[in-house]
Amino acid sequence: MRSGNAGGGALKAPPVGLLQRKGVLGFLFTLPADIILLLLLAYPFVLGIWLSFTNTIIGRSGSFVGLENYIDLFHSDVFWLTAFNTVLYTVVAVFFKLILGFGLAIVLNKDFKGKGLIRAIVLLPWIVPTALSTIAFWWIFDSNFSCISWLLMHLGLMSHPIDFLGSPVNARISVIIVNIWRGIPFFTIGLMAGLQTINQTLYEAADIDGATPWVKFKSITLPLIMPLLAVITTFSIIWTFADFQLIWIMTRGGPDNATHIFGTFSFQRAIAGGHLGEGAAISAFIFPVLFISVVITSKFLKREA
Amino acid sequence: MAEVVLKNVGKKFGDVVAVDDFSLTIRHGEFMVFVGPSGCGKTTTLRMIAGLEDITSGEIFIDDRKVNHVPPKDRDIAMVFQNYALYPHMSVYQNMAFGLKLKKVPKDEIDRRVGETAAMLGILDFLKRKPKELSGGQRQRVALGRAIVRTPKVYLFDEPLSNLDAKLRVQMRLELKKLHEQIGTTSIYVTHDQIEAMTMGDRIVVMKDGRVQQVGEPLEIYMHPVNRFVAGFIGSPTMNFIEGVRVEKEGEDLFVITEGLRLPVAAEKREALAPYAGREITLGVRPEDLSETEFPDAPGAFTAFVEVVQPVGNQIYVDVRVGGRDLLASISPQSRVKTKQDILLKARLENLHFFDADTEEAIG
Repeated sequence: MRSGNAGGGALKAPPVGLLQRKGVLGFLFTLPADIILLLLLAYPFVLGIWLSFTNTIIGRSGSFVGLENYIDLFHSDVFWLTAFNTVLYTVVAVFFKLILGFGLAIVLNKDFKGKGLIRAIVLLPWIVPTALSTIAFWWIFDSNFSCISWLLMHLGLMSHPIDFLGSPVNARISVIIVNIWRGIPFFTIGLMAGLQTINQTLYEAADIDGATPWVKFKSITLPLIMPLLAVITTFSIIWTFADFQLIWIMTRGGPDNATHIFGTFSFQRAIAGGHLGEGAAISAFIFPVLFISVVITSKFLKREA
Repeated sequence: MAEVVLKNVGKKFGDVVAVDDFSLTIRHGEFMVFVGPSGCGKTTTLRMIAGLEDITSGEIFIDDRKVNHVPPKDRDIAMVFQNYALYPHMSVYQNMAFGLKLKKVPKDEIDRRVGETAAMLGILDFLKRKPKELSGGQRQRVALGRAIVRTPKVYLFDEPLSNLDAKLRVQMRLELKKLHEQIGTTSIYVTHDQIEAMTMGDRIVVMKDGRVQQVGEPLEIYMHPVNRFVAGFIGSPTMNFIEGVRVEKEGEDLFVITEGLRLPVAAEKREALAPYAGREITLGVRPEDLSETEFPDAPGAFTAFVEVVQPVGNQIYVDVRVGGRDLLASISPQSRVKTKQDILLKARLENLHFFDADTEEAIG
């Protein structure tokens, strides 16, 4: 309250106190957020890394064993199978989510009757809790009571039910399909918002310039939506790569570890099996992949901007 | 160069009639301006000519070819949009070359044409820049350039100057007009700004509520508006309208009379106005047709009370009251006029406009 200080002192610069220094004040303002981040993100993360260097099991604090957990994993066939599964799961699922989600976004972005309702329906797979919707799929893919098998058999196309989750290849395809089903709305809604920001007169100008629908997509839509597409894809890669509940509910990583991904494998070893150290080491493998994809995306975004 | 012909063109959006029975022939090389208030259908008409909007009824011809169902790219037109519609991720060069590339014009030919056009518009230094690195005026030039490089038969302009500031607008107006004189291509220009219409158009189409009100050369429309709407829309400041003016016959002479005002009707309007003797009409007087006079007995002279004086430099706008009505007069800057005083004004009788009180059509 300097208003009371009338007279000659009015023009004199106020003394620079600790609070006036840019760095200090900024730090203080971000402090609450910093504390939350430290407690909720950094602490569990560092603890996880630490655990991966110990032989901790549930109920007993372990001791430092260096890289032993990692070396054991490198010699484990299940670990390499899990790594393969995770990459396969992520690449295939994200690829189809992107293609189908983008396609759906373009279709829904058109003007048609009842588009509000259809757009709301598209969101459903995303807003229904995964645990719930996955149980429905579990039934759809049941080896005896599958409605798909029932339908195909009644149509005379099959003689016996399909074992959706019983064989390694079928199980992988099944969980990937469910993941695609659940993830499409994220792409659709995100990209639809992006499409709506593109100025319609650009397409009119392109019409006059003689652009075909494909040229308009390639030369206008795609470049203008690319930054958003990159962000959405990165998020989807992160979520898919670190997925857990969908697979845990449907297959628990089976049959014969064919659908184990890092998340489920880590959980199985650490919580179900009690080997916290080993489980932490498995989940540590998720981190570098996510880190790299974030770096690539942010590089890409900077170049665009 | 091309002739554009519209025959009874109409457009409906659902039940709303946007354009109604629009017929017009735009001649080779003509600069035609569509002008009117928002929602009058001028832009819709332009978009129908461009092919961006379906035609509900009627026919459009470009160079004797019916184009109702021809897609925009095959109509040999170029359009300049109000928001420029430059492709934001492409450089100026790429923006200008896009249409030519799609037409499979050879690369060296594209380079040459883009270079020539850019030089003509003074944007040669910006060819490598993206639109967001340019000022509004520069973007406007790029949008023009993109239209010009394609050497179309017809240019379509959709309020191209309305996003520019006032000063730049006047400058670009002049440049566009020069450009048209240089290139000579048939142009259709949509604007809501009547000054733009007057200064740029070879001819003007004044529209209201989807209907053509009047087509003509700028001065013809200014001098002889066909109805009260056109009279009020064209000209700045706006024409004064005085309603409930009585027409009276005294011997051979006709007078228009209202409280505080008794003006003889000029000889050339007498015949048309004669049937209205004894009835009421609407009188229209442009502010510039009122001047200060020293002679109270001069024909057309009357006394008014000055309310507000607004000098604008080359003129003085004077708000006056006559018989309980407000009028605006635009008088000589030499005047010593003061507020809250009487002033002796004189109307230029041959320039008075008379409108039917019911139909609002011009009389005579």
